[in-house]
Amino acid sequence: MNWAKFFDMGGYAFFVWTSYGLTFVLLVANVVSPILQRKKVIARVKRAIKREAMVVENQAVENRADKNRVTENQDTGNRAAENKTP
Amino acid sequence: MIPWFAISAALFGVYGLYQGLFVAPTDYQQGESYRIIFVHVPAAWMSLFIYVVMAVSAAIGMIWQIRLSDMVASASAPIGASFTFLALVTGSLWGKPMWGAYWVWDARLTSELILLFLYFGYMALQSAIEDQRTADKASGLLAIVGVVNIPIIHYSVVWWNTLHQGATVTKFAKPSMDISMLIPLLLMAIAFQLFYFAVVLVRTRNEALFRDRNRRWVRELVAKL
Repeated sequence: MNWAKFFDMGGYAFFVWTSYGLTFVLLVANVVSPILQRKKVIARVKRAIKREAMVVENQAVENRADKNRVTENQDTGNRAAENKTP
Repeated sequence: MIPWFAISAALFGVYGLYQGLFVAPTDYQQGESYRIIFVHVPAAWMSLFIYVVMAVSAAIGMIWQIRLSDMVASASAPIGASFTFLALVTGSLWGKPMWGAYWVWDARLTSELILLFLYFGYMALQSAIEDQRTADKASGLLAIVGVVNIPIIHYSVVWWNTLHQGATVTKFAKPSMDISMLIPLLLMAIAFQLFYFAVVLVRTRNEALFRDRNRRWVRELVAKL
């Protein structure tokens, strides 16, 4: 088998090898792009999970703070009520 | 199932390439340039096949409201578009040495170009419309209407006097092609077909993850990853 002759493709090397090369490139792109797409979607969902977890935590902290404030107010309110009664 | 399709596609592809590039004889008229056929024709067949899959699943999605069906349709579009593009470019690379021109406004070539634009239109509608259900409806309608182009492409070489040659394989009579050239062609066609199955499954899965990104099953799945 003569390799130089094989690659020459009877003088049509440019046309034949460009066709095969492009086919190869497109097939590879079709394999790579869905893999990247999958990574992107998973990363996006992970970020969303994290964000929501943070929101829930913040809310819990805020709720606790609100509760403390309410009890404080109640305390002062009670004291004020006590003060009112002679 | 994805690895099975992927592995068998690779096996068929390698064996088909070997048969096509080393075993198949030189054509008596076109010399070695005809070897483009082994990527050109399977790509063109896939461009039609994937379009039909896309249109049928879009129709199923529209009529019976099956979400998975819409996902298959939108997952197929980019793969189909790339095969259509490949068929057009390899065709023009074959046309230059044989016809003397990269492009002619021949019925076969023009209708295949319209197919590429149908794919692009579908993809554009999918990404332009924010609401997924509306996007599926609009792009699905385009896909279904575009089906008329499929028989036009297939019969274009019969209906019009085209520069493009007539059918050599898909006809009722014996294929007008030697078996030593037909075998690699069919091997490559099977390889492309299996390749599409593998890729469309991966893409459909991505599509499902993306569309259901706010649902619990995706959350639980991703949390485990």
